[in-house]
Amino acid sequence: MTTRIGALIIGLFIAATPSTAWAQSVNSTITGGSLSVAGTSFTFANTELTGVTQTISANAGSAWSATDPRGTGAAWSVTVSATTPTSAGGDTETTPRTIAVGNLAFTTNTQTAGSGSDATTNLTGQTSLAMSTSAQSVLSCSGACKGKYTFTPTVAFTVPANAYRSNYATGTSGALNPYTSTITITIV
Amino acid sequence: MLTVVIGVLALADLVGRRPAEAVLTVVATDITWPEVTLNGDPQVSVTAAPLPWTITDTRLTDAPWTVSISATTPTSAAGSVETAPRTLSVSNLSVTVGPVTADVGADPITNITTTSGLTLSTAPQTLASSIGDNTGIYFFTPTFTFNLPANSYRSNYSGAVGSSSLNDYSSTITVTIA
Repeated sequence: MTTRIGALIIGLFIAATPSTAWAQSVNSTITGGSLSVAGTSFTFANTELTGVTQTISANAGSAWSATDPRGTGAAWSVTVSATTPTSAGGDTETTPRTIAVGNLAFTTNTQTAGSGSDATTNLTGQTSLAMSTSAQSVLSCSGACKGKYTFTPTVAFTVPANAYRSNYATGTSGALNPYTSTITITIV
Repeated sequence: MLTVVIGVLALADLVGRRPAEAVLTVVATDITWPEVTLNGDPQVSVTAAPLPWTITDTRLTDAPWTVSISATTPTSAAGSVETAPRTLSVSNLSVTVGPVTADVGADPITNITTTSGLTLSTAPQTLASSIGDNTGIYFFTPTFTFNLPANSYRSNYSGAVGSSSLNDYSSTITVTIA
């Protein structure tokens, strides 16, 4: 009788399942965001006319960014346009003074890919692009530029020898109305 | 006759303390992350298993066991218009076991070792292990992390782009115990 009990216990051990596997799925829906671009302004140093053409340059106050979170790999382009640089009329010097918008030249400079973004291989910038009141591409992606990119552009301002100085805001002395231009950035 | 009685008592006692079937199993549950919208930056999505996973060792051997885990490459299946399947590296998935609790009557968890922040692979890796003397049922609720690179592709649309359902990124996780 004792022997039979022992055999029963051994049989129980043999019946034990040695291992199991369990397969499950993990799922995640990933949706795309929207293209966006952000930029900062340029401030040029005060410049005194000298009778000859001068070129002054300024970098953007901080890096611009172009972001493609669409998750499609489709092409995109950053464009800029600019209004005509104008020194507004003052109370005495009432005639607004302008310099052709084409005297502004835009250089995109080096682009840096954000962490985890596609490489900059498919990005193309511009060097000394004469600006216009119409939108022109300053950074284009031929495709597969997913993520975020930064760049710090430079604008060169060519001041002709025959440029008018800035108008005085009040009377004929004191504060001057600087030449200003509004730059519009878009990404499409 | 006296010997027979003792033997019967011993068997009855054995059945009373342990489940009747001797098994070594692990049971897992599906994982679903909340929807993530790409924003151009790397993102991290963390989610816990909706139900505890269960390890059962009723072999009555006190032998060691190891729970292993592997995963397939997360893939958003092709749709009828977006025909290229999109993938993310399986190494973007990681898992943390979290606390293990022993069921009533199970051996203490002292001999159980777990992993934290284990980067998943298509090859099995140890998720948890016992050096032995862990008979019983144990529970844990793993937490999964999904790292989304900034350059991720969104999920494919199943049909018309923008007006059909999205095909989730899906990975099959295989959990084994031996």
